[in-house]
Amino acid sequence: MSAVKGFLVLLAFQYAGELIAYLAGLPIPGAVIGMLLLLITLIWYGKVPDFLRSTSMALLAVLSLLLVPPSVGLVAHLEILQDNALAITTALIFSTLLPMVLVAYMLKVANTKNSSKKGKAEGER
Amino acid sequence: MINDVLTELPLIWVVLTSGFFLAAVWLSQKAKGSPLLQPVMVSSLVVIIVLVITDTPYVEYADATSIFSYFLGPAIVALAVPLYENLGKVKSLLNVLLLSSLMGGVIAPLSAMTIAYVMGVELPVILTLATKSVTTPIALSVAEEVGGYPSLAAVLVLLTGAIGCIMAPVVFKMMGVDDEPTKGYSLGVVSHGFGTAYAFQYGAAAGAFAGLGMGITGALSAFFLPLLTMLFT
Repeated sequence: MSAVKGFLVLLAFQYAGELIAYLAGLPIPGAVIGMLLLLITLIWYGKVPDFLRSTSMALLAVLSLLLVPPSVGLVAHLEILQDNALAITTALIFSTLLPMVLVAYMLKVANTKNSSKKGKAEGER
Repeated sequence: MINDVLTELPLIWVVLTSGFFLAAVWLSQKAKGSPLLQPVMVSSLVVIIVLVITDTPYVEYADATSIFSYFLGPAIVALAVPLYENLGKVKSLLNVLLLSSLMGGVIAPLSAMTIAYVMGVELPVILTLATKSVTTPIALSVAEEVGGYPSLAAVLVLLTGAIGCIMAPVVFKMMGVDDEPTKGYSLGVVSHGFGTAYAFQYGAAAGAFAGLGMGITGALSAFFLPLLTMLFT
């Protein structure tokens, strides 16, 4: 029964998220709001109940499989991809490279700062 | 005859999709997780080949496998669990991580949409490009919200994932980055689930940070992507 319990919790949070998006007229996917609601609830509750962890992990384990049918949608868009091949390729390459360099750089700087702080604190002791 | 059977008994597509996926996972494990043999990509290609051979329209396949899409919503909600468990490990770093997720999460769609816009791509495709760095389940629903094509979003997300994993080793080497959390987080922000799977090859810490990067960026993006796309409409 614990699988049903876990599934019920996930569905209830999804529904709550959809309800909020609908009532507030937000252009945000209801499931994402549901995810944040569950995250806030878990932070408040302080731990993940076992039944919820097992259901969630089972669902996430098959998440990749759920993504196969939409990816097959490639066949429905072959024409668009062919017509815009150069633009899409250029856009994808640069829009992947730029944020990757940026994020890696930001974290690298933060790391160096952190470790020099730590070094100082230890030196003072 | 074969086509009649395929149309009358659509469950076959669910069986084939699951079977091909399992085979692709096995193949990927044999190849030690090479980014070129990503299971979703491989099994999708095999399904496409079968569709073409049997002359089955995509709509028919999408209908037959629509049962999968019902589980996407709860699966997105379930992402909160690993997100919560990783959050505890990184409390002190949280501000930096949030900021880099935000920056990466804005730069990726903005640069993609700008390049496509300048190169004269039509609007729905530009809007779909906004979702390219977000984990697929979130990308699908955002694409629908902003007026793009969800199934094209799935493809662009896959390609971004593959490109990110191919670039990552070169970028990290040139920048002299060699700590696991930094590598992992960058991969997660830019290349979502694909990058997360790849990051696990650097180690468990890289994988955990990648998952966190994917989750935080995905959640933030769902909120600001609809606003960002308004710049182009």
